Amino acid sequence: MDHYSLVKDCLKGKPSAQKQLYELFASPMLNVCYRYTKSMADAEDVLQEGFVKVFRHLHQFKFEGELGGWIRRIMVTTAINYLKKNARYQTDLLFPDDHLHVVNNEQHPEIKMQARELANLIRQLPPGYQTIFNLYAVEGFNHVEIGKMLGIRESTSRSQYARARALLIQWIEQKNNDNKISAYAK
Amino acid sequence: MQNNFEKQVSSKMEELDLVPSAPVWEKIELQIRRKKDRRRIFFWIPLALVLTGAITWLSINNISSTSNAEQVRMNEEETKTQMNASQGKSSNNQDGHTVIDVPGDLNAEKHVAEKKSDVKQFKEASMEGSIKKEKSSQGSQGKLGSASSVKTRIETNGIVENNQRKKEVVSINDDASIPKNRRQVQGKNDQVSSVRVEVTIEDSSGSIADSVARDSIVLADVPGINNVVGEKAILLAKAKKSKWEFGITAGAGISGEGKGIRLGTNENLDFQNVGSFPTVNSNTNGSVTNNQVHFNLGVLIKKQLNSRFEFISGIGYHYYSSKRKVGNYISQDTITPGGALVSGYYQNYGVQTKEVTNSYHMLSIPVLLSWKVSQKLPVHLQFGFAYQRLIASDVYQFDKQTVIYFKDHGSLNQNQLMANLNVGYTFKMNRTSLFVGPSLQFGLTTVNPRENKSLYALGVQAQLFFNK
Repeated sequence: MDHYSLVKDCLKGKPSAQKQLYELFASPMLNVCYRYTKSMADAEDVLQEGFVKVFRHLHQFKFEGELGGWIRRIMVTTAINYLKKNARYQTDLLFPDDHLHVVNNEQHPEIKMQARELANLIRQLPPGYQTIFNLYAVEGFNHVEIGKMLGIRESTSRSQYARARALLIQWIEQKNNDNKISAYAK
Repeated sequence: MQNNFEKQVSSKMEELDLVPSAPVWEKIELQIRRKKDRRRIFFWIPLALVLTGAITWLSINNISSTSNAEQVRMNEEETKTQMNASQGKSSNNQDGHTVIDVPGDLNAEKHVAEKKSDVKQFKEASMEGSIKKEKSSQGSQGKLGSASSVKTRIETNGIVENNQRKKEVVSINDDASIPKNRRQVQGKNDQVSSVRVEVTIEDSSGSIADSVARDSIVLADVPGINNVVGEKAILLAKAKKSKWEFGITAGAGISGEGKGIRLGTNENLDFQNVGSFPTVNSNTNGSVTNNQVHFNLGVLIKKQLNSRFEFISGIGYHYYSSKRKVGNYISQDTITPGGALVSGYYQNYGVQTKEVTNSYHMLSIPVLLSWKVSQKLPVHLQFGFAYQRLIASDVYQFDKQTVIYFKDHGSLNQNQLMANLNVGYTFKMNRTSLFVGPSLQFGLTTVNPRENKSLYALGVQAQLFFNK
């Protein structure tokens, strides 16, 4: 069934179509939610909340873009709102300026690790860094858009991203070195 | 711009393949169904209100009918007693009607007719004499309560002019001759030996309306029966069934949205971030909304419940609006906090602020009770509820977390329960009645859940009812 028919059937309230839509996008959307949160339980909470919004607002989808893209944006927004609402993420979302690092945007280390490993590294970033890194590096938003989404200045978003990137590169390089050492030991 | 590192990260993230656990879908499904159930509840609320109104009306009516039946029985007894005492013969005929024979020199023109439809017939029959129209008296109305309908049969020399279901028959026999000018009407009959006046009370629900008795006709000078039969006819005539009246309504005034009714002007108290950048945890509540125009149009139906209460319902269109200030406009496709995709939004700050109009278009089903405050003055107090369905909107909602103003029809509460209060004076005209007075509406449910705001409206309401 194509997306058009699927959406129409969902709008008619057919349970089978609703489940089909969920099964089609559940896995890729969980990947999105997983990157923004600190635990699988939180990721599933965001996924659940996001899909409820999807079904509630499906009538607003005008087929002007990809259905997957539309659902993904809802998931991202839901994840950001979840982080803002959830006390566990609150303090770090204030984007403190006390972790200053020397930033070198020219560093491009090769990422040799598995997707899950990289995702877990991203999730180890402080929530503020994690969110901005995901929005910029993975979702492809620019800093003006991120600033508006998070209610912060563009310059804040830019500097926070640079710090997040530097921290992640540091961890990736460390991981690469560890892998080299363990391979050498073997 | 993304460089090599970002591309690598993005590409790796696409490889991520996680599968949600089974309970996730179950929870989603549960929430979707619950939402539908809530919608159903909102659908049933107005029906429940209508049913409640109907049951109340039936209860009131049953009480009135009972007292009315007793009143009629007492009148009947009284009639019999008086007639027997004045040497008349009284008997019950086969179909259970009470027949009273009144001796004396009664002319045909001295008999009773009633009922709008029969009046013409009766007049055409050249029933000259002292037929007079009599307005209903408050006392008799009060006694009868709310009997349902009265029909009269007039039988002259066996010619039945109107045949209806009956509970009670008053028959007047007379040997007097019919004047010549009546022969033409009576046709073959040269003489009228008896005139029967049958008064029928239909034992169904109904009540006495003010207008009911205006066509009551009674002979004032029928010797011996004026005080009994004639009076009784008036009483019974007043027990005519109250019918639905149709009308139109229109109103205009001011409306607004808020946690309460705000009558003052906008002082922009909450709009404090103009010209500065808010922080992510800004506690601003968005700009204050100003009152704007409200108007409504609709059709109504009305039914008299008893001498003081009327039931009113109908369907109408309501327009509510308000104004608020917003900041810079950002033209950019954005997913709203509610999950809707919008082409742009306003910020809560900016060098130049702009006023935007929020408008709500509602379909309304009111369920009102109208109470006649005074017996002497036609002043009515109307109170009740209205179920309203949001059919269209052009509303900028404020989101605290993202600190933006955006339009999202879907995230507004589509179903509203409004409380209504109207006070007004009723002008009675020939075949219409006009109710005019101030009105107040306020939302019992929030229309904008994001800002916890309800609608309200103040204005003047007019209702024009057409009496049949």
